[in-house]
Amino acid sequence: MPNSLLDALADRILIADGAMGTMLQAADLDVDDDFQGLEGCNEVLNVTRPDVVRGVHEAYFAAGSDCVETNTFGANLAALGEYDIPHRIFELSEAGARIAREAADRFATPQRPRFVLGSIGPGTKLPTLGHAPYPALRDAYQQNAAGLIAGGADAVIVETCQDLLQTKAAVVGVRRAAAEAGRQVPLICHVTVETTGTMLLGSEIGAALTALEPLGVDLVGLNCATGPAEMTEHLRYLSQHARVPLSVMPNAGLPELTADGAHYPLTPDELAEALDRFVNEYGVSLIGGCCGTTPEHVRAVSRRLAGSQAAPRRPATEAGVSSIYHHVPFAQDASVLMVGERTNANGSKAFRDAMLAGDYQSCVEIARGQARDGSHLLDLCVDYVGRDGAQDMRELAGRFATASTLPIMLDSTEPAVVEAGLEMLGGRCVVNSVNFEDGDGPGSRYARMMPIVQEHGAGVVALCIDEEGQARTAEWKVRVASRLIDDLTGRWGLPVSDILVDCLTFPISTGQEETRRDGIETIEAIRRIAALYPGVNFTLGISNVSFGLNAAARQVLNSVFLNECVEAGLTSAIVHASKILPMSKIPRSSGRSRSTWSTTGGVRGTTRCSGSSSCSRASTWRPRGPTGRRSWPRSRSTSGSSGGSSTASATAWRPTWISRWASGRRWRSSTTSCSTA
Amino acid sequence: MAIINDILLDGMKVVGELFGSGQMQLPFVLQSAEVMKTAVAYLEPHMDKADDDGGKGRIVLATVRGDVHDIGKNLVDIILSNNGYEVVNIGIKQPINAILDAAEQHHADAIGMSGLLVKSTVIMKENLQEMDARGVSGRWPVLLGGAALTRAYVEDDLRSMFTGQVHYARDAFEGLSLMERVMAAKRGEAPMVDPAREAALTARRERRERQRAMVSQSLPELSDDSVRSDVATGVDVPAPPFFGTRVVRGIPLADYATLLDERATFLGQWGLRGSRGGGGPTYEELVETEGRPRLRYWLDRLISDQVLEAAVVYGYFPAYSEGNDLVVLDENAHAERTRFTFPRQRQERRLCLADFFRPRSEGLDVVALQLVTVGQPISEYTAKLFARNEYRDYLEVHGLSVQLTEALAEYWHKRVRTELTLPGGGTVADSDPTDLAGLLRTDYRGCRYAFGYPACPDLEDRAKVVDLLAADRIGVQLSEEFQLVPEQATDAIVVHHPDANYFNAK
Repeated sequence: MPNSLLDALADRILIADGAMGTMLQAADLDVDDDFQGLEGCNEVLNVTRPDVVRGVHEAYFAAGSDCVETNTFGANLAALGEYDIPHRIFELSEAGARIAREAADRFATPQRPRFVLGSIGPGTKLPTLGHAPYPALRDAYQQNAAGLIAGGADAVIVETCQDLLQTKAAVVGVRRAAAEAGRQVPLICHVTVETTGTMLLGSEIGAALTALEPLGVDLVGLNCATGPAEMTEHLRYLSQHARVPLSVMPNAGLPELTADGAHYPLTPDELAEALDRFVNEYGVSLIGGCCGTTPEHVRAVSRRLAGSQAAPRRPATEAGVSSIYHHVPFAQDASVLMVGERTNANGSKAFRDAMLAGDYQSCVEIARGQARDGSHLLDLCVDYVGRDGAQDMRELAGRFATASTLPIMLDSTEPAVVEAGLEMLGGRCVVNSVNFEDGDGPGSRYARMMPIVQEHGAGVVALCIDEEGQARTAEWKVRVASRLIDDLTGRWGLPVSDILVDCLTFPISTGQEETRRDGIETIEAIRRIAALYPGVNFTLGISNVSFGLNAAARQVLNSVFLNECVEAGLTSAIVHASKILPMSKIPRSSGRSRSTWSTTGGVRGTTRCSGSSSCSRASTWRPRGPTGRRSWPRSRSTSGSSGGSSTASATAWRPTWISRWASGRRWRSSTTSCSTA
Repeated sequence: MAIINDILLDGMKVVGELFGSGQMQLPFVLQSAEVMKTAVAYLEPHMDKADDDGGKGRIVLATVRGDVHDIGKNLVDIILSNNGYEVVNIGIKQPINAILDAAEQHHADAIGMSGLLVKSTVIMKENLQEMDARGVSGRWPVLLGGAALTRAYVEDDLRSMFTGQVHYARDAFEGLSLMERVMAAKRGEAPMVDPAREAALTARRERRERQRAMVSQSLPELSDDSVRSDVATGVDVPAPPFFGTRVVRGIPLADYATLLDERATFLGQWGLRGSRGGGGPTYEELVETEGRPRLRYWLDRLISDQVLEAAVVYGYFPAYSEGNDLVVLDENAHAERTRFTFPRQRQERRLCLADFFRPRSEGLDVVALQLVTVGQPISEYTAKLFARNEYRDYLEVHGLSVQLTEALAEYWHKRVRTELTLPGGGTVADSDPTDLAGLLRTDYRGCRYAFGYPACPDLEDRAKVVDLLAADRIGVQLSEEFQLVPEQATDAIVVHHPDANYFNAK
């Protein structure tokens, strides 16, 4: 069934209502009779005084609202829990939706349908800070949504979100409820950006968008906390980057505290003017008001904007992940996304010892050290024999969520461990990994992992392993990767850019004849897969290539191998970023390693770069565009690679991918240096 | 006490020598001081009361009236106190009364005054005059330091008018050596001042005075507006997207931090100078091993500690020039909102900031004003680091916060250029350079002038900007001495005229 709300939004802007709470406060209500002794619990009125609630809805419809929000903002675990009535979530939600439905149906005409938006508020708990467990919140939001759907809501609006993990719990709860009801329910998601310019826990708007869009929201936007003026920069970002339509419901200005309580200064005409700008400059489709807005405000907005069309947008989307703080794009321009490998119980003894001892502060310091060394993402692996992996994951992911700005790659083959991590992290993660080791049939790891990946909107690492084992040859790797990518995009609906193919690294240092080609097969596979699936991402555990060699040799081999893989199309690497040497820093004497590499697997030796645009010993550092990531010329050959002169000083040259701090600071220099320099 | 005097202080002496000879950088000096502080704190419970005699000497330190900058003063505090001196650090914005009271009360051996502003050099002069007037000049030798001071100003101008002793300290270690000489002189070992050198200085000073007087007499006044410079007229006036002001928050750090001036941060703020002589690290090596890793660490840390709150208030106003004045109208171009009077160069091109705007007779022009801050929390954060004796962190976070403020100003200036639409299509930003170096060289159309700098030196004009933009909306206040509070804030008048560039109006 096509949903008429989304159809209407495709046609014109829709105007929602204003504040509910202040309207109810103005009514003459009795604490014992009307509130059932639960003073301030507005949701109870849905049962005791449907006439009052309906009166508010009707006032807004009469003033020109196309949609009203149900009186269910507090019908969730945290809020009703405070009144000791958490068992009434469904009942009060359904009653609230039914009242709004009746009012809407009374005002609807064939020319002008009226809609009910089922309101889901945030509650008072911040799961990122450990106030409440994610599963409990999610399940209660599911009841909340189930009641709204049963009562006849046309859409659900998850609003006033302050914590991205709470937001995820609510969105996932709504999705589950809709699936259970067997209905497509449009989902609007509003975050609240404080006067500080971030969400309460420090999330930039970019982090929020990256975390929320893959969860399957149909509209994204902002409400509450500030008036329209303070929302401008965030809406601008959403307008430029969000794939889905936008929605905004500001307060009537920043509240001024007076003797009579909060006073909201924005007049109806001022609000209408601000919303006009949002519709016509930023292409916002659904508009309304939050605290301090009244039917008079809606009347002014409707007079000015009813029937308008949102300005067309041409968003530039940018695949990536996020911490709760900020967005990190997969594409690091002329560089590679560095995934820190030290927060891994199998890879780092220091990390493992700290984890086993319960010394989580030391684990956090190791994570911060990875940021200092230039990682963009953290690979978090807690798998250790005999431990409760899910519990270790909860402890560490919960701490990393706030202590570092780096997004997390959850590294485990156990679905339960991965899920435990995802339930602690409000940002968008990558799951490392899935494969076809035991096929893709029911009960396979793949079939158990993917619903979790999908529900949490994560990116995923796809390992080149199938029923036959680890793919050793390029041909085999390409075959497995194709099968994985086709299934992930086809059956699970992932965009190809959210898949990070891992072509596998084997030690080439064992001296055995059959391992001699392992390196070159991996490099070749990357090249072929990149050509077959434009936009697909890659990752690779680099250090394994040199397993067994001494430390100095490992550093050289790892660096050269990484360099070759990046040339072939690798977009991210799991490495210790500060241990990677730029090619120009590898002295000629160890150049033997490089020529050895050439004979064992190195493809193009040292002549590859001469004279080509990929040869760049650029010595100048260039920032990405100051107005964001798109305004600067993107071509990698622009950064001073003027025809391969070899005069640039070796000391001035630094590989960009290791010397830059996390995400956004993206400089352009080349990824490679001319090895003959 | 023997451990402190013979081992630890000897160590600090070596640190001082290495710094002086350019072989050790400031962050490591501060780390050494942290070690010293920790060691002394550990030893303190084991010391006799009698040992606690104020150490080798006692100094009262203050940032002078009207100046909020305390990093320089605090560095002197760190170095002196970790070299055995007792430091009474009475803070910022200290009037001479408070300084003298503290010196009296604590039986100080010397007074140290600090200040970053040009204006502070004048305050220091007034302070010395006041000391003379009160007849206390002989009691305390005065040590002066700060970015706007010069050796010549202190040793020529100030020394000639002050009856007591006044000395210039280029950095904290010169402060230390001066303090050592003060104490030596006090013990009667060696006089502070060399009479022969003084005589030479006096002669030089008199020569300069005569020259200055001659030049000065022949030139017009700064306020002379009988001429106009050769700045082009009839330049296209771009259209702003709105008139009036707007507040902006939530600018992603990643966006403005790309405009961070790394050299100013690492070299200027953090003191990562390449080693002079010997086999020490070069600047480039220090950037790689210390600068960028610490920068990444701090950016990660400052976000997760939630202490960066970037905010901008800016606006566009109709405006026109009238002689040396820039007249700013209200957003409807009905009435005059305010008027800036700028100095005109007394020679050469006779430039004046007003020349970059159309006179009324040619129609209205547009001026942009902006004021940016990275917020109050970072100020409190740095203060805490100093209080916890985390000297290196203190230096780094303070320096980074100041440079991030500059980066934000640069970022917003770029936004203003993209918003200014030219009559023929396109925007002022179309002629922007494509790299950071170009931006930092101001190779774009127009220029951004902050008050207190040579083209618009009058700090009191800042009050007009703060008022026009209602800067309190982003938590920025103006001190009574026209300083922006918090320190991590900066204002500017943004000029779109293609000829606009930095110049010195004198």
